[in-house]
Amino acid sequence: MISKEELMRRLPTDFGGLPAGRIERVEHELEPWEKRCHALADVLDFHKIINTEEKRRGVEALGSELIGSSELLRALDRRFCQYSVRKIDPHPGPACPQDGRGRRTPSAKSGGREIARCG
Amino acid sequence: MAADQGAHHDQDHGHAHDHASAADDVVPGYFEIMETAVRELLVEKHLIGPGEIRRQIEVLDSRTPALGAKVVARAWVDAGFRARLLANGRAACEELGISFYDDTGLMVLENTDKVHNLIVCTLCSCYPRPVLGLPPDWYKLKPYRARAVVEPRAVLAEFGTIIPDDVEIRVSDSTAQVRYLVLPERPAGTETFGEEQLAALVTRDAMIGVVPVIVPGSSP
Amino acid sequence: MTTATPAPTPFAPIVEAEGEAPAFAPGERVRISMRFPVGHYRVPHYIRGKSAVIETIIAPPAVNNEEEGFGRNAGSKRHYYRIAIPLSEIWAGYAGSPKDGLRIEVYETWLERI
Repeated sequence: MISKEELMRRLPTDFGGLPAGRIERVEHELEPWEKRCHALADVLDFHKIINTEEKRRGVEALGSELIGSSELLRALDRRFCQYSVRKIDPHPGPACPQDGRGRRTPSAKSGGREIARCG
Repeated sequence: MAADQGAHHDQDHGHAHDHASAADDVVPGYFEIMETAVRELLVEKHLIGPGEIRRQIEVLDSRTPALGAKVVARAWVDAGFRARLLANGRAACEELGISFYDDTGLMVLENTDKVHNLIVCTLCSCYPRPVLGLPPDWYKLKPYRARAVVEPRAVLAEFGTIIPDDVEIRVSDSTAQVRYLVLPERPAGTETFGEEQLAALVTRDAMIGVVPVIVPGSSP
Repeated sequence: MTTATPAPTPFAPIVEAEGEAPAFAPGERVRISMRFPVGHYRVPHYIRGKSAVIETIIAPPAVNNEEEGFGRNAGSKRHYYRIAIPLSEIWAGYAGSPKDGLRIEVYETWLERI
């Protein structure tokens, strides 16, 4: 019998067997910046700056409220940035620009686009 | 450097190259800028070369289901290739000039009149990218990942695929270094088809295992 | 007159590194450990504690991918195994065919002989 505590150790990305609805056969043409994200992750992998498992762990660390939401790719990109910066420079300055330039946040147009980046 | 790039974007929102899409709003999103920041920082620190991302985009653009379809068609017409493909998927693909840019292996799963294969990654979105390109959204979203290992027959039915009860369904869940590709059954009525004609029949979804390969216009 | 060619001296028995030889063989019955580690893992919850049969040994041996997730890319290499579990074994009241099954790769450290 699995204890409640053990159940809480379930990763938010561990979907096998969870209740879920209909499969919506959604697809979308990748936007250029999304392609660059995929390419960036591959290039980081080639250089062994970040490996496949670290990417997976990055997604898992984002928390269950983000998984499955339109915010995932965006938060993931931020996590890549943090991991990469930490490896390049353990004491980073403001290397990653903070949002505060009045930029519009990505719209709900991309809602439902979950990218669980791994391999 | 990154801040300058951001300011540049503010003024040059008409340029297509660094923006989400023409249909999107004029200002690039926060995360698009983040990607730019990381990329520029890595180049500045000489951790990656300046052209590497661009090159990898070209690599990714060149990987489409047409590659997988070529592999399937060759396996249908060449029994020796088929045997080598089933023994070592990656090596056989490399024979056809399909290089693997990562460390993954490929296991090809043969559909027969007794076994139907389906692939999924319940934990993330592992997919045979070198030979199929990037996966469709539905493959990465929760419903498919949650249900493919619980009720594959119901999942297949949602794709319009009914598998008879006397046929075994095998669901392969990718969790490690091996990726999967389904080798669908060759449809009847294609005995006179050449390799290119056969490849044109093979869809991405057939190589994931959610639909069979059909000859358009033939009765089901 | 012929001279017998002496037989080549056989090598002294080699000692394999830890984990170099697979612990399990195809056809063996195993059980996926009933463990619930905190943090990153690659063995989904839905198969924990289930019984399975080894279908294939994945070669060559590799680093534990759960350790890799923390940047620890080195260490003793062990094998992954492609294992088979009937879906009726995983899900009580499975409604499909009794022949339907799962195939999944699991690292050696998660498997117990039964």
